[in-house]
Amino acid sequence: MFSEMFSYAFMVRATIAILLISPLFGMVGTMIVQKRMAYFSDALGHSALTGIAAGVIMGIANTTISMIIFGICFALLLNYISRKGLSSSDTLISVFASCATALGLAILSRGGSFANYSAILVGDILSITASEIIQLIVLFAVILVFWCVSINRLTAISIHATLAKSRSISVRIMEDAFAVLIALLVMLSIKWVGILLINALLILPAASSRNISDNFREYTYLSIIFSIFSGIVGLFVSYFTDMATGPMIVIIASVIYFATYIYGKDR
Amino acid sequence: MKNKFLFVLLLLISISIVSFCSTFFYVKYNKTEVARDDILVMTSCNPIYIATSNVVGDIDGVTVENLSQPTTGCLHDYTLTTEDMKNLAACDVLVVNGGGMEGYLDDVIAAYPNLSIIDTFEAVEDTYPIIKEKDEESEEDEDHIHSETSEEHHHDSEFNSHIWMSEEIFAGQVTAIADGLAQIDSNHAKEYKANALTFNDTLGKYIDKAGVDQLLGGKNVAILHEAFAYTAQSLGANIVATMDLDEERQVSAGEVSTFIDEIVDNDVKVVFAEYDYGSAMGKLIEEQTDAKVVYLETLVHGTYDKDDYISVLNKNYALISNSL
Repeated sequence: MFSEMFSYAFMVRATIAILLISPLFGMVGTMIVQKRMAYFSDALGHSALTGIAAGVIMGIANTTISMIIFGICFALLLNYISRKGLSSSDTLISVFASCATALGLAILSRGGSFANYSAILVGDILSITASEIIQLIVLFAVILVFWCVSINRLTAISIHATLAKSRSISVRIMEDAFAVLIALLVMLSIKWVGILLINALLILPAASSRNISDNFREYTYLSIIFSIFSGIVGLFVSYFTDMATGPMIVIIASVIYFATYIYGKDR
Repeated sequence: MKNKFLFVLLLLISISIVSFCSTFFYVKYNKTEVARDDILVMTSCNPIYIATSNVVGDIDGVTVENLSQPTTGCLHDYTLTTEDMKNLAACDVLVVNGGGMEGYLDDVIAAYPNLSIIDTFEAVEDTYPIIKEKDEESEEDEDHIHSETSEEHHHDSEFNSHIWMSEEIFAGQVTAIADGLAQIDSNHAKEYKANALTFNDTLGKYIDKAGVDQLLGGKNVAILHEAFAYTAQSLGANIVATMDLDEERQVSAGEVSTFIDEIVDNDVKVVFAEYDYGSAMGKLIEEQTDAKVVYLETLVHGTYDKDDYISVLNKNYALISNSL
C-alpha cells in the first residue's frame, strides 16, 4: 500500500511539503493561540487575495512576491493601528479582513476572471514542485532560527507585556517581527493549504495541545506532534479515498481537538 | 486515564487504526485498475472525452478515462484530486481542450514534463479563423461589454476556448485527437483515423439544426455565456451583446443596464443562457425586454455516453427553434 503511494513523485513531494509545513504550523500556532491572535492569522489568510490582486495590477508575474509584500505590510499596519487603541483589536481585525477580502475580490473578479484564482481558496498540495519545496525549506530554516532565538522573549510578552518591557524586552519590535513571521508562513503556504483552511491548521494543533498541556514545553511539543500526525494521516487517507488533502488534514486535526478537549475537561 | 502521554499515544494509535481500516475497506470495494499493458488515454473534460472515446472506438488495449467525474463543471475552477494525479502519472497521453480552459495544465506540465499532451485548441486555432475573429472584434470595440468579459476569462487565453460548441471546430478537434494518438500509438494509427472519419460523418449526418440556422441567419442574438458565441456563429446569427455570467462572479449594475440596452437597441429576439448559472438574470431580461431567454447546455456535464454530443446539440437547437 505504502510502496504504491510513494511510487508517485507528486506524493513524495507532497509528503516532504507536509513534513516541512506542519511542524511550522504546530510551532507558530502555539504562540498564536497563546497571544489570542487567531483572528489575526485568519485576516492575513484572507488578505492573500488582495496581495494577488496587487500583483496582477502591477503586472508582477510571480504573485507570491506581491502576496508576501502585501501580507507583511498588512500585518505591520494592523499591529500599528491596534497599538493606537482607538478600537478593540477584534473589531479592527474584522474591518481589515473584510476590507482586504472585498478589495481582492473586486479587483480579481473584474471581467469575470476571479475563476482564475479560485483554486487558492482550497489549495492544492499535490501540485507542489521541487523548486517550491526549496522555498519551504528556506522558510523552515528562517522560522526555526527565529523561534530558537526569540521564544523566551515572545513567551514573556504573551504572559505579561509590561513585565517583559521592564526586563528590557522590546515588545513592539518582537510583536512586529512575530507578525512578519506569521505573514511569511501564511503567504508561502497558502497556495498549498488554501485560504479557507489555513487558519484551521494553524489553530487546531495548538488548541488541542493547550487542552492537555501543563507547561509551555509540553504545549509546543504536543502541538508539533499533532500537526505532523494530522498532516501525514490526512495525506494518507486523501490519497486512497480520492478526497481533497487539506480538508482531510483538518478533519483529523479536529478529531484530535475534540478528544483532547474531553480529556482535558475531565482531568 | 491519569497519564496524559499514554492518552495521547492511545489517541494517535486509535486514529491511525480507524483511518487505516476505513481506507483499506474503501479501497477494497472501490478500486478499479487499468491493465498495465493497456494504453491509458486521459481526457480533461466531457466534450474531449466524447471525442476521444469515438476516436478510440473499440480498439483493444486502449482505455480512455476522464479526469475525475463527467459531472465536473467548467474546468477553470477544477482542482486535481489524488486519483487524477495517480491517473496522470500512469497515463500515456493526456488529451485537453486547451486554449487556457484547463487551469491546472501548467501544474501538470511541471509535474510530468515527459507526459504527451494533445492540445486540441492549438491544433485547430489556425485552421478555423473564427476562433481569432472574435478577439479582433472585441479589440475594435472597446466600449462593447464583450471586451470586458471574454478576454480576461479563462486564464491566459486571449480567445474564447469553448470551441467544442461549434460542430465544425469540434470535428477539427476530433481529427486533431486522431492525428495525435496516431503519432503516439502508431500501431493503431489507421484505426484512429478511420474512427475519426466515421465519427465526423456521423456528426454531419445526425446533427439537426431544426431549421434554426435559416430562422436566425443574419439576425441579432445576445448571449449570457461565452460558450454560446460558437452556437450563434454556427447558426449564422450576429452576436450584438455578451454578458458572461459565472458562478463565482457578480455582475455590476452598469453591465446589466448596458446589456439590456443593447438587446433593445438591436431588436434581439433570443438570448442564449446557461441554466447552471441561474435563471434570475434570464427572468430580469425577459421582464425588461421583448427577448426570449433560452437555456442551453454547454456539454461540460455528461453521462460518459459516446452519443452525448449529438443529442445535446440537437436538444439545444430544438430549444432555440421552439422559442422562435
